[in-house]
Amino acid sequence: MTYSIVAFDAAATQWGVAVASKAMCVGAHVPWGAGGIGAVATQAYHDLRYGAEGLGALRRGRTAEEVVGELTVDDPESVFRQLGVVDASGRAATFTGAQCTPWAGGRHGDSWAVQGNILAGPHVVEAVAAAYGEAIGTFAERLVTALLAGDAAGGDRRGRQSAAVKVWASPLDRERERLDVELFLRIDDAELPVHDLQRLVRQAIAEPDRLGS
Amino acid sequence: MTFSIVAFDPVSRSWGVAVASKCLAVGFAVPWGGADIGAIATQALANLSYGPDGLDLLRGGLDAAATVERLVGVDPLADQRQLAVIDADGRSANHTGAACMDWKGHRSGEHFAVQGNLLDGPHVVDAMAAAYDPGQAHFGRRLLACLQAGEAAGGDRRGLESAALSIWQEGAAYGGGLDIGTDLRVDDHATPVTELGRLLDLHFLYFERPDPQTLLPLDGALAAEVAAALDAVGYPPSEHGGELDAAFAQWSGVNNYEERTQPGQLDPIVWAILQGQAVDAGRP
Repeated sequence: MTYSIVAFDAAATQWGVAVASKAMCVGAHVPWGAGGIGAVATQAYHDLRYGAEGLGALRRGRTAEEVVGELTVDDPESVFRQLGVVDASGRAATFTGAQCTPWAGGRHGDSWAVQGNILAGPHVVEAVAAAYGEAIGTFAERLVTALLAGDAAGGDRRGRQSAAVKVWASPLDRERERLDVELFLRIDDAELPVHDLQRLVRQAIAEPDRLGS
Repeated sequence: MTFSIVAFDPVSRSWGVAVASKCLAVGFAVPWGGADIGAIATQALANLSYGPDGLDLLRGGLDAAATVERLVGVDPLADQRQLAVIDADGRSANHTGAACMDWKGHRSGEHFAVQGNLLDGPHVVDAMAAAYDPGQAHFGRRLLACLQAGEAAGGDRRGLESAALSIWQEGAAYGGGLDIGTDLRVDDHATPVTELGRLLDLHFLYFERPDPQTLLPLDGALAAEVAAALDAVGYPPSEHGGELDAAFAQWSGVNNYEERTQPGQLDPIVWAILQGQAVDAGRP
């Protein structure tokens, strides 16, 4: 029901998830992460516990590949799950259960993983991956630029409804407080959610003092 | 300007926060909570660490008043903060720093507290407190009504931009694993409270179970009509070995109505949507 990118930005020391879907409030379910720990996207017939338990495994120092293994090995419904993980040092892994609704699949590279299901085809995840490699701007902007390429490639074959981007910074870099969330923006239900999300990200970057409080 | 409510619903054992603000993406900062722990709203010059730290204190057994005291007590900028906490037992406590922008203040009642800053006057929080109706069946609607009352009382005089509504209830999440029952955000909108109400309606459509009293038995003439509609929208039962339930479940899963789908029965709300799609599909 969804396509997403999870990534690590070594230059900024940030972890992020960007996601779009033909389901409402995708930002409430899919993105999980913690500064200095890693990030997880859990989707398809998703189990939110994959987010919490995936982060737990990352906190124990597991690699992205090991986290995918730990979550799926004892899950009788893993064939319906889809998962992307990037760990503390940026290693990435992606998992697509054999029973996810077609087209479903993922790609991963150095410090990023892209995955989706009920997509127009494999070209959607390939477009997201290619666009991420070429995108410019802040980490959040590049994540959303990558999503937009997926949207342009046909995205979720049922249509559009919601999108979100969430970025975590290393908590040690934040003097203001302990909180590690650098940015978290959502479009919960709109005609063109990824376009709206891009506008929101630009607004948040232009006027950081107006964000959130 | 920001106004919010924190509340506890003893009937459903849910904790909630609803908030509206002139800032961007207020849902990013203000609402915090957990089932059987409590809920927190941190605003004005919001100290975001009040969220996770406050939940840690509540989890450790402090009540709302002690949690507020502890958070504010160690904060050098406490006079610019506004904070509301409701604990696991539904007791609330507030802090409104003396240096928050006028008008600022809070009110509390049984199982809820309302607070705001940069408001038109005390009548905004008074209207919110008066609108909180424990008799209204659904907790989410009750929280929304409170925001609407704040807006109507002049809470939107300087313009609102964002709003959010969060409810935590044990096992309420999609798939049942976690406590995130409702989590709705309007990050940037000309009329965010109205938009939040629209999202809440959609939330009911996608995530609430149908009223068992209204379910229609999926047999006889109705079954034939449903089969024809599924055929029209590209989910013919013939592709599922003639199993109507299987074809319907496939369509309903792809359209995100799985919470409203049970074998042998038909939710009239979902049926109306399928009929609409079938009509659309039949148009040249």
